[in-house]
Amino acid sequence: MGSEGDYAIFVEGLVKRYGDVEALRGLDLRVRWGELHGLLGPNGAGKTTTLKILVGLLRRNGGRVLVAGSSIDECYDYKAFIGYLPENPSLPEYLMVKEFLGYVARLRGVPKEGVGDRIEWVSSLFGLEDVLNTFIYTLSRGYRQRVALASALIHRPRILILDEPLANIDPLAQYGIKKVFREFVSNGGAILMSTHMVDTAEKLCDTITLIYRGVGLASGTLDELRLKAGFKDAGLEEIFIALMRRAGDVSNAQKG
Amino acid sequence: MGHVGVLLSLRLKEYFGSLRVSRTSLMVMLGIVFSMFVIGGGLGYVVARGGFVYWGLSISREVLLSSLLSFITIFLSFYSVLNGVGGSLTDINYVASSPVSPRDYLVSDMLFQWAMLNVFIGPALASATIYTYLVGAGDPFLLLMEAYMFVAIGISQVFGVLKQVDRREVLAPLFLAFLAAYLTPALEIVGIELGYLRVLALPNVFAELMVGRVQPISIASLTLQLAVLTACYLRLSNLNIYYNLKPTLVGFAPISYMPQLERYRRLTRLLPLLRFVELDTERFGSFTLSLLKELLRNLRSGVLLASVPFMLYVVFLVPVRGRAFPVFISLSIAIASVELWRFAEKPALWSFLQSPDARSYFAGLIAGSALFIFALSLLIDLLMVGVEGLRLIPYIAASSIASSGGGIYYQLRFAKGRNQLADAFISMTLMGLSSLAAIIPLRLIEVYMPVLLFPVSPPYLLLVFLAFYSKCSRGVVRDIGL
Repeated sequence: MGSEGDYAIFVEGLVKRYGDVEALRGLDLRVRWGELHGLLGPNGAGKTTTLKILVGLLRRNGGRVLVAGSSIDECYDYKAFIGYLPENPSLPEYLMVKEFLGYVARLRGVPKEGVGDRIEWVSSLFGLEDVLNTFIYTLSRGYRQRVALASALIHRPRILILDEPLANIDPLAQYGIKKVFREFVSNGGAILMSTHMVDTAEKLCDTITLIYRGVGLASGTLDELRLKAGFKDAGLEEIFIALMRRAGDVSNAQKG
Repeated sequence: MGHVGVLLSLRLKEYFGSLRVSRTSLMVMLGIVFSMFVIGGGLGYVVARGGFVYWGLSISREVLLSSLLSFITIFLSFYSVLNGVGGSLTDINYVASSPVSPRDYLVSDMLFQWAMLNVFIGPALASATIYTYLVGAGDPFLLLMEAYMFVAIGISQVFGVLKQVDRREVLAPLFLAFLAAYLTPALEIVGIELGYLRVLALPNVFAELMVGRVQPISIASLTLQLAVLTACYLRLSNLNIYYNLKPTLVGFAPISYMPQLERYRRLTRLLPLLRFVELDTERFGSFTLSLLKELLRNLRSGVLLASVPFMLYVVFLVPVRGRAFPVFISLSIAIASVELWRFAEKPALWSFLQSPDARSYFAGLIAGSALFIFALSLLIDLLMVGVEGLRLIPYIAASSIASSGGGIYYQLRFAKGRNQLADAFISMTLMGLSSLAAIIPLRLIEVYMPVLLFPVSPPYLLLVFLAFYSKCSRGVVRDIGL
């Protein structure tokens, strides 16, 4: 266990309420440098809310959040370290891919003279070379997702925060993108990605936090999760369902 | 200020991007600019004449100008008080998650709003200024108008930031005080003299400057208010506005319209009756079910609320009276109804078209829509005109059927959803023309054979309905092979 400043992302007791609905109820989350961390949970568990709080799009109601060792309160500089992929990455339709990537690069602090090289770099990573001069409205959903991913990486962030990054992407392109993620963490970066796809989380992530109804059920490597769930050789799906049932029982008992 | 240029350029390209690839969009935009240029000529004429008479009230050019400036400021500020700081989905996804300071964002937003206002109001102002200058009736006031636009946007942004950072205790009294001051031109319209109190509202001071009748106290007020506004702006633009940024800016490209729909729905929920009205799907045949569904859709999606701005335009800005009044009202409601259908239901059309009886959907859609528009228009007509309004039932019915049918037909057959501005503009024009075409025969009958108007109307209205039903259903049903 390191100190909180040693983590790429450190979240403690995170609370978020939408009116009367408590979306997050004291979530704890730790992502180390050089680690691909999955946030796995069913629809409505609080995954997207957590990510939006981390990138400064939502105000939290309680808890502590540090990103790259910095507090995120009333501060924007930490965003320079982050690459963010939203859940439904809408893109400006009448911009060409090259223009859009260039704009995002400039917004995230890439100097003018370096923009061309960065566009070339991310387009080779995500196979966008052929569509750089194409208007975004003509692209398929899969290509749009790749453009959004490229925009998350274009300023060479240290942390990637990705909401369902592999949605709408064909298996071949997924293979390439997973390689990019692995390379990113092997170079010391950290990735926090949300998903509700158990297979993806099991195969791709180094560590996983299981989230259910706004609280973390368990966190760790697959072996650590097995230990917590009390299954020896179980897959992530069985672990998750068992832990969810237990949490459901507890919550039902509390209600009773 | 490092990001202002990049942000402004991104917004402009995002909003006007369709002009790069679509000739239709370009033509529509040129049409709007041209029409505003013509309207501006009218404004210039009124200013040059020194005023005009409206509903029996004599309005001087100074009051006209201050009213115009007040209207723009109140409109922008009200929008900000409702929505906070606005942004597009691109802003939320990519700008708010970047290390861009709020001040950069607000300043670029101010420049963008100024550019947008200039696209729509600029040609009118230019034309009005040229006219007054050419006839030697006043100094060119374009520069003052342009300067005032920055002031109006700045005021609205101050309200927007206060709303965004949830400072309600400051926002509510400040906005009420602002409204009290900025509604003073309305008092002057009805002949109430305000004396020195009028310098509390910047539109009055700017109007004085525009007509060259400025007083020392006005200059003092102007200086003081601009200093206070600048200080507030500098202080507030440091606050974090990125939390809960809403996609309030709907571009001309196809982006989500859901926030607007959600607002109408939220307000509609306040009407308790609507919570208890449910569609009984076990009781009716497919046509009746579709018709009832359309009536409910209109109620629940808040068509009445969405049509209020169009109605206000009809009632106050275009003072139409007599036979044209209910027709314009029905057209206003039809525009809101079809626009909301475009966003709320058209994307789900595939589910209705799976039915082997898809034609019933179209019959119910047009009949339900027309029935809703007719009922509401008649009610407003009776409230405004009294029982005399009953004479106009055939006109209201014809306009309701034709305008909604025309709008739906355009949306089904031609609107591609790539450019919202072009789609909305062409759709509204077509609805107006359809309404006009449908009421001309009735007018001819009334002029030449008045006794036949009521007996002939029902079969005529049925024919109009069938024509639009056939147009709407045939093409779409043929396309999907039913």
